[in-house]
Amino acid sequence: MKKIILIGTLVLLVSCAKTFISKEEPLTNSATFELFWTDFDQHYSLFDVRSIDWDALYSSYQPKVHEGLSEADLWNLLASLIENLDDSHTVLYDGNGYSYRSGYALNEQSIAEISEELIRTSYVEGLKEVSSEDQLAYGKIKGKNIGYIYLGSMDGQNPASIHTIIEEFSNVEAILLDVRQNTGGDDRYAAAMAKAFSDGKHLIYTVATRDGPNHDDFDAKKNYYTAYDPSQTFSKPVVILTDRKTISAGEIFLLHMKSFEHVTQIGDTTAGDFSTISNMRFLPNGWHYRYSIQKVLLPNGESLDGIGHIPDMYVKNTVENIAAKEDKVLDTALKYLLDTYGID
Amino acid sequence: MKTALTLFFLLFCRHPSVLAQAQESFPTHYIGIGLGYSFDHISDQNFSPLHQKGQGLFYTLFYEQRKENILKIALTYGNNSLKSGANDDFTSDHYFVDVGISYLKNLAASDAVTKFYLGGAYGLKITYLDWKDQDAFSYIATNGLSLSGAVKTKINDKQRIGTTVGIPVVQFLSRPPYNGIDEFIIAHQDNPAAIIFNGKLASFESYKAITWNINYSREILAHFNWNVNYDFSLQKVDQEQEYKSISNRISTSVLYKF
Repeated sequence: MKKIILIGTLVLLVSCAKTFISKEEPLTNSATFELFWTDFDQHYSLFDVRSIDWDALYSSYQPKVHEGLSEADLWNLLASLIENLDDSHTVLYDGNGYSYRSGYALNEQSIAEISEELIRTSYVEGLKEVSSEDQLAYGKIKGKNIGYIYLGSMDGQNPASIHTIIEEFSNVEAILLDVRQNTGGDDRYAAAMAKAFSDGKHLIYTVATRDGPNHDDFDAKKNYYTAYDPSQTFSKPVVILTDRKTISAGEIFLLHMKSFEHVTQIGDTTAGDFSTISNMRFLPNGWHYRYSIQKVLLPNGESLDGIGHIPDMYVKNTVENIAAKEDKVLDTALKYLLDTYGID
Repeated sequence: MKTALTLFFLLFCRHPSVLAQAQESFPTHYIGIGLGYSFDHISDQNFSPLHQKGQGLFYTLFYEQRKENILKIALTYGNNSLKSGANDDFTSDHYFVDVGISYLKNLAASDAVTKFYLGGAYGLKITYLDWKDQDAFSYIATNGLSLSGAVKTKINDKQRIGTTVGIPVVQFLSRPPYNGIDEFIIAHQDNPAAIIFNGKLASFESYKAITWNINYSREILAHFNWNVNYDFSLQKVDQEQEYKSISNRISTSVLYKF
């Protein structure tokens, strides 16, 4: 009898357990679209900042979804939907190595508008890479007493290595700090690198993370300040070079740098994508995606998302410039230092 | 909640301590090591709209003191892979750690064949899900007090069977923020303990769980027992990002008696 009660209880519990967890999302085009649209609706952070009417987009796209759509058609439809966000932190992955990044056309175009080889051969002598860091290199501008630092990401392990470079540059008259193609990374690394050029403690931005289903649900703003150590700072003129693919933590770095009096931005407007990106999100058919989950605001409440850092002097290379062995951004920066500070 | 708490403290406070009773006769001590297989089914809306299913090995280490009452300290660790997606497209790493200390008071006569126990437990339970080195992650961590009830019976001099049920009553619950990541997580990403223990007291409405164990024990040598266990547990977090899990675990263990 005891055994029967025991087995009966077991069977009952297992049956209850099956109803305990709700049914899985079905593998249909409609379910995939609904899941995708709703997830953005409930979690994406920049509808208001980027003036996106997500409900109107639903009304426009949803009628196009039916079970007769091929996988490629559905992919193109979802890619087209997120293109409206013009936010390159929003990416759709197919799980087989292919992805679609929203608002990425200009970023992609800029890849061909800079040449490492040209910088090495025509502009910078003794360009040395810092092996412990990710895409950090430095040297001196040929024939001039000007330092050159290339910083291609904010994913390094030891941001203090910037101080070693600054020490080596103790006698230069100015530094060109090149963050073109900076793919971002860790905001804390960006802050630590910027500290080496700081002229004081300034409130530079606030961050709020979306924390509810309504488009305006955000947690309390957190203030961010520049750090300052007067014994370890480069206070001579600094020109920071940017392009369209200077993005994310690269742009957070610029928020720090542009608050310093002795820093000038020359180049193209940056990407305008500041937010931390979400964890990866999943769809039943194996596709996955990410999006922005935060709102980064200037102290005056304005946002640069979708706008980017507008340079003090706008200049960009073309593919033809690069082919002609000419980096107009570097040339303009050098001319600026000569015209403004008499540094040659 | 108040009733549960009152009951809990009555059970522990009515008799001053386990040690006071230990003076009456000698307790039996056991240390044990076990190996098991866990079948897990998780629906964590913070992590994914898809269900995570999988199975894998887990390990247990425990100490037990038995006399009239039972004191048990146990550590369980396991990790396995959970699959999700219509064609099992996604594979996530699943880690779990349970640490618990429980005290069960005998309510029956000391020479009874079948004994009924009631008691409490403190437990720390951490479950962590990770997809591709934190491209996506989620967790649930609880620590707090539970009420436990048990029935244990002697089949013969060498064999026993028992069952234990536990229901949490006061729990600190830690879950990821609404969007999985926020400035707190970013600031403490190098200190996971700060994130895991950043919990809030959960109401009974927001956190429900139950654990159920069936244990068969056989004395195989004078100083060694052999155990077989079945453990069933449910967890449910009723927040905007709902979490539900079912776990079925079968395990075996060897106990050294001293």
